[in-house]
Formats: sequence, C-alpha cells, structure tokens
Amino acid sequence: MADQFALSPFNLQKMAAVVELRALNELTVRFGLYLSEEKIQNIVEKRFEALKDTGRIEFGQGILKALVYEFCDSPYINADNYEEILFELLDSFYYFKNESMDSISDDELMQFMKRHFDGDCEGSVDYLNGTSLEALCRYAKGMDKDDGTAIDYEDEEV
Amino acid sequence: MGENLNITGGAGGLFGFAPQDFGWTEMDYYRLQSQLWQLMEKQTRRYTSGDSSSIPVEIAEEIKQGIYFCIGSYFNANGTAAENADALRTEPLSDLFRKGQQVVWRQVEVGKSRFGRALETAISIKNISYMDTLRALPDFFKQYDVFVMAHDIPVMIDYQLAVAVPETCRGIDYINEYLRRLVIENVFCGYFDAAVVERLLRAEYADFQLDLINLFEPVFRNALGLHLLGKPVNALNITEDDQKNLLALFHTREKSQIRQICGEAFLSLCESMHFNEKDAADYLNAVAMGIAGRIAAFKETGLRQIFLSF
Repeated sequence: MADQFALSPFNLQKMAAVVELRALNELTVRFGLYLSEEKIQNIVEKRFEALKDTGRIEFGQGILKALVYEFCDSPYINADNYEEILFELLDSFYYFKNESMDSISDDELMQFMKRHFDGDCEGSVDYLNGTSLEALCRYAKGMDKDDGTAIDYEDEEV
Repeated sequence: MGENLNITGGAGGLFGFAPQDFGWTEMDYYRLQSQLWQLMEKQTRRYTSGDSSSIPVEIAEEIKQGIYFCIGSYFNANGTAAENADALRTEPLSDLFRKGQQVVWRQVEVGKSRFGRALETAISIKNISYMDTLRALPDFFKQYDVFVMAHDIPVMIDYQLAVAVPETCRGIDYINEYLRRLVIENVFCGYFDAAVVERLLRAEYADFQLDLINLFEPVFRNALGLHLLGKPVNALNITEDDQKNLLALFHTREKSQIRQICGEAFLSLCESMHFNEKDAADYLNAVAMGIAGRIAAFKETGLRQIFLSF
C-alpha cells in the first residue's frame, strides 16, 4: 500500500515508457536494432533528463515511441550506435522545439530531422544540429518572407 | 514545475481552503495529483492543437493556473470551504474544471454587460489612456481563452482607476471588477459639466489629455471638499477662502478623525447628489480614505495640492 503512494505521475510515465520501448523492440529487431533492459532504462532516464535540461515537460506519451519508429529504418543506425543516436536525437529534438519557439509540430520536426539525418548529414546528429536544424529554426523565427507569405521550409533550401 | 505538481499550494490553498484542514489523507492527495496530471495532458493537447507532446515548463505553469482559476471560480460561487474540500476529494477534477468554466463563461457575460455600461457612461473628456482602454477592452472578450488560460488578461489596460483592482484578481474577475469601478467613476463624473471638469484637470495635470492619470479622482476630491464646506459642488472650484476654511477644518485633526470626516462626507455627498450607483459605497469609501490619508500628510503645509483652485 505504501508503495502506491510513491508512484508519482513521473514514475508512472517512466514505467509506461519502459513498457512502450520493450514493445517497440518487436518492430526494430527487423532492422537489427534491439534495446536491452538496461538500455531501455537508460533511454527513459535520458528522455526525462533531456526534458529537464531544456526546461520542458511532457504529460502524455511523449515522443520516444515516434522517434524510434521514425528512425529505426535509418541506414546510419546500427546495433552499436542505436542507444547513443537515440540519446543525441532526444537532446536535439527538445532543444530545437525550444529554438523554434514551438512553431514546428512534433511530426514536422521529426520528419525533417530524419530526412536530413539520412540525407546530407549522413548519420551525424552534430552535423544535423549545426546545419539543417539551425537553418530551420532561423526560418521558423523569421516566420514570413518579404512579401508577407509564410515560409514553407519544406520548399526552402536548408 | 518539478517532479510533483504542487496542487494544494500550501496554507490557504489555491482554492480558498487548505485541504489538510479537512482531514485529507495521503491517498486523497495522490488521487488528486493523478487527476491533475491527466487534466494537464488534455489541456496541453488543446493548447498545442495536438501538435506537441511537450511544452515549456513556463507554459505548463500557465495551463495549471488556468485550471486552478476555473476550479477556484466554481468553489467561490458554490458551497462552503468544507463542502468544496469534500467535492475536491470525491468529484472528478475534470468535472469540477468543466463546472468552473461554466461559471467563468457566466462572468464573461457579466463583463460584456458592464462594458456596455462603461461605454454608455463614458466620460467625454479626451484622455489618450482612457480612450485607448475603452478601445482595447472589446479585444479582451475576443481573445480571452476560457478553455485553457482563463486566469490570463490578454490585453493591456492602461487607464488607471482611482483605486486599482488588486493584482490578486485574475482573468475575467479582474476585468469585471475594473469595469465595476470604472462605471462608478464614469457615473460620478457625469454629474458635472465637462467643461468645468476640464478646467479642473488642467489645474491638476500638465497635460491631462496625454498623461497617464485618473480623471475621476480630482473631481471627487474637489466635490468632497466643497461638500464639507456646505457649498454647492457643481462648480468644482475651491476658492482661496475655501482653501483657508478646509485647512482650518483639518489642521488640528488626528488622522483617525480626518478619516471619519471624509468617510461621513462622501456618504452625505452621494446622498445630496442622488448618486445611486449600485454597490458604489465600498469603492467610494476607499477613494475617500485615500484622500483622507493625503490630507493627514499635508495638513501642516497646506492642502492646495489636494483641493484645487482654477
């Protein structure tokens, strides 16, 4: 009974995220990617750490599942770097949500990151952060072109 | 926001009562915390239109305040502290929130009605901040977000009342109280000729049209002074003889006596003017007490800055 009172919403979220990542292994194993229990725990902790570092909070499911789903078929992710890349992507994702002042949706940002991670960034999250994502956020902050229309950053050279 | 949503807000609580005073158990707090978390998730989804799973902590705090405001509004309108503490324990938080939003919506209608009255009774003196505020207030009703940010005031209110609405008032409560006081001020000023009021304001302010001032208070002040002397108030002007007589009236009085004199005077002034604005007494008493304080402070050196000659 006493243990129940120790379950804050945060702890419940962590438990749910662990269950979610375990289930995702069934999908990602097809791409040679599998997270051990230890790595699952690390990634879940990393998610909350990244949120705290960027001054953000998630009340629901969060982006972990979507992030794994989006990136699991990347040619630049393998069993050796899977955990590390997820760490870096989590950091990037929340950082650039802030940098773009939340003007870009989760889906748009994640798809943008995947496209450039697999493309011109050739699997380097550092390069992705320093080039494509920086440019994306500059556009997002600039908002409008001179003629007053909104920038469609999908069409712009970034 | 930390790892625990601080929902009970310490002594006094955020809902007008302290749950710990009503026998809440640890399980009650845990249940409430879980429900608040779920409501925060729903409100966050609403705020971001489902586009973001995460939000900055500052925004989360604002969303939380919006929830508290609505539930607090419901509790203020219903039940005793004990009944509300019990409702918080037993009723789903989402239901209390929804009921609170309905209370807030009703208050919005009250606000619209008061704004209509403010426009009807508007002072005809041209003052930029006064006019800008009347122009800005319709935007409040367009932009006010009852669904997520009911505690917020999404417009700038420049015009200063004689006695400001407390900053503890939020959302529509602030606007409604602001408008209530504004109407009282408007109606009082409406008893006097606009040209006379303008001459009075010129005596008080360097540029009454541009300055961030209150138009009503000098009018009330001079009317109070003339009434204390038993003179007609319409002309609003305090003559040299009037200045001497007022000084003589207050010079030897203690602060408490000055407050009593002013307190009684504003009541009889309103009666003599047939000033019948509903629920105005408390507000006008507050204004009168402010004037009494200034009289007490300046009675040794002279009252010319309080009662104006023009």
